[in-house]
Amino acid sequence: MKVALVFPPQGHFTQPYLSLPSLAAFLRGHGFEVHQLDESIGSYDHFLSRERLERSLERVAPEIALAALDGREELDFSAMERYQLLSELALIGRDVTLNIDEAKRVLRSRDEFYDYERYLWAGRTIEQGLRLFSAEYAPSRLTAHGFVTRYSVERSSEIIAALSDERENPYLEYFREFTLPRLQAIDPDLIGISVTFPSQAIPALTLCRLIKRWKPSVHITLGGGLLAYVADKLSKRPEIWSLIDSFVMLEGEGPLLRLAEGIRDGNLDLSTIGNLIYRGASGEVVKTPRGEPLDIKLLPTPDFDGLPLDKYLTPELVLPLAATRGCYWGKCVFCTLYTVIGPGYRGRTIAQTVEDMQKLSAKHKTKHFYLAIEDLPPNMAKRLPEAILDAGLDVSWWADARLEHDTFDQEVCDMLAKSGCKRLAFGYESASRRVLARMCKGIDPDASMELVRRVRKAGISVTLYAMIGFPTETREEAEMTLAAILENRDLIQEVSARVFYLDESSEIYRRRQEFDIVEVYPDPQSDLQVYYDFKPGSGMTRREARDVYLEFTKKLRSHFPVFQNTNMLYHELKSHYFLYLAEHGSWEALRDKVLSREVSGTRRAAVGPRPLAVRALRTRELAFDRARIDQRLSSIDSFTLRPRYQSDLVDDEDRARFDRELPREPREGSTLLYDARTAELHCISPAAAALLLRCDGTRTPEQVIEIVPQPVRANARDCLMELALHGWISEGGWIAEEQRR
Amino acid sequence: MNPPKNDKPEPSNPPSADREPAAAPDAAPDAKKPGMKYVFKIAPADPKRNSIDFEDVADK
Ligand code: SF4
Repeated sequence: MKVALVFPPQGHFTQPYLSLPSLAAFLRGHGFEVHQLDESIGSYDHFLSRERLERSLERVAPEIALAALDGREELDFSAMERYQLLSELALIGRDVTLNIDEAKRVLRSRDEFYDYERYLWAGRTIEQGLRLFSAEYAPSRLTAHGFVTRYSVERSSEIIAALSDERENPYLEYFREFTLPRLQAIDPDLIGISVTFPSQAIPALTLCRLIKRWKPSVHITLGGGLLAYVADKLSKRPEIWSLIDSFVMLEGEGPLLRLAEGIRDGNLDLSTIGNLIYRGASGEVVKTPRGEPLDIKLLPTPDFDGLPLDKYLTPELVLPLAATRGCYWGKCVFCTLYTVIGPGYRGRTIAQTVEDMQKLSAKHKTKHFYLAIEDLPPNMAKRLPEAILDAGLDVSWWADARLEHDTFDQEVCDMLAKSGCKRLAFGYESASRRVLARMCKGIDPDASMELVRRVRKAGISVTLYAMIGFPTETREEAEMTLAAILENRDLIQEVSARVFYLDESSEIYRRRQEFDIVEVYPDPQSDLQVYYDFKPGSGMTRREARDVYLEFTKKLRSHFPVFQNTNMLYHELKSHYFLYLAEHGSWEALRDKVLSREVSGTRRAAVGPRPLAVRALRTRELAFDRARIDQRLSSIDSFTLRPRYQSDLVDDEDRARFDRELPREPREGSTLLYDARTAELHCISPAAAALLLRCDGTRTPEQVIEIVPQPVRANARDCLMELALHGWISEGGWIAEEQRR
Repeated sequence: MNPPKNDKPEPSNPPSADREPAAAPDAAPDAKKPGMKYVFKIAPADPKRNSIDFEDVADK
């Protein structure tokens, strides 16, 4: 009797998730042979390899496709989108392919990962590699944060259509080549597939379909956080029952064990297992009663054995660990998190948590932990640090926490820091007392900022979650939130802002009249829809909320170092920021030693008496202005009102309208420039490109700029300077001289 | 975008990645084209910067 547990794509590639290791430990404890397959990291690792990207490059053939677009007189919206991608790939596709394995190596190397310039180069190369790979399956798009296709994950008919789409579903090929052979070698009797994110829905069911074709008799059960929202709905779709045998709702340990025992003993009776959805003998969908929530004190330490721990794109493992399940507060009306693994809030003892850390730290030679919990409970905030220190544990960790004004006094904060806490993320949500009260957050905005001040004083990095557009919230109230965050920006390192979405399993949805939600607009075709568009009777309209949100994010970008410039620590590779914090000890050290250095520029060559464009530059002349295309596309992007992870692709109807209505982009030359040392891409105007071309080491700066008419020579000189500041022109001297003048 | 997937035609131009700006021809003919605007502009070209949404990051 063998069990295979699969984490399907797509989750983030910087650390393993906790679902499989928790279940594996539990089943192994009951004597089962369990194999864990993280096919998310497995597929990233394969897709981001030289061999695989060479194939993408060959199949996409960006040179040819771009030449066709460059021959046009004007570009409509769809053509602009293709142009943006193809111009990049035509220029850098080969470099990216050649460098991709090196980029992964850098992210996994202790020495090079913390060399910020190397890190940025590697991060950019990974992103470019993902764009190249995605182009092969366009319009599907795989990024570090998501996987979206033209198929909506809110519609079961579309999900089912995606499962056999060889052209746009990259996982069909991957599963056939890698996952299926591995499963065949194991030959399991029970396969558990964990689906936490919407981005996993299509890949997970794609895999189920392939497995069932190979071995129809194997019991496939689907579990995980996402199913708390959609399993009921999905189970109504008859096709689903040819792909899987059961859904496990809420926490998986109990049902999975019962399934495994039943299969092993040959007496499987699904009707006796709680928290299950399955199809009965006469085709009816059966939902078994809710099981009792587990006492998580009885659970073993998560077991990561068998996961490809060397494949995650970090130099040191950051291991997730759950000290609690559910939320001890559990009252915020917009929140559904605490119901997903519930019901009920449960915790392990402090001693157990410390022991878990001890065991995992020794076994996997890492000191980094992410406490994968909804929020750090007060007793733990007070007692965990001491226990960590008493045990002599040298760890660094981070967690989400509630703004418990009384708990986080200075002493507690200092102890947290001392025990290795590097980052705390708090649900601040709003600076308006009225809005907070309506949310049932149970916090005071001023006291919250005082708390934040104490956390900062202790040297811990602070992340705040903020929400815009809670029903009845006015523009003034939303602006208060923005103002409070900006005023206190020295205390806050990261802000994670979002627009309010109406989630059908939330309290506010059930009591929507009380929140002046006058109308809800379900999409009749979206049978799996969990978020609804709605009409608020007071406060901001949805559109207004979106606008304020966009304004908000713009301000964040210009005021917070973490979001600025080319910093990828936060933007793209979430746990990398935490590792950098741990490496440098504090936010201040990270800012001074790394971020501000990058901002002011360290690797800046100057122009010599005979400037020479550096060899690492690649350029490509384009018939259209790529910079303007970027700008236009990004402004269109911002109009979407739905949670982006559901789909950040423009749907067909909008696309047709954009193609029809948006002014076409006329021909206007530009040059795309790639610096192979940094992997940065820039778009420069023809005049700037002309100057750069003349920097061939034979001319003086004066001779370089004499190509332009006298009246614009001063501008040309500035431009030359800018090119030099980017480090694109070598040989020292000129800049210094220029600055002396 | 729907590039041909199975065709493997030879690129019509040598891949531009091989071009070296340092070895460019002596003159910069473009700069002399009539009507060329003398706009000196340098902008980052990074689609991610433009499209990233903060929620994307928070969700995972
Ligand atoms: S928002 Fe946070 S504190 Fe509020 S109920 Fe949800 S998990 Fe608990």
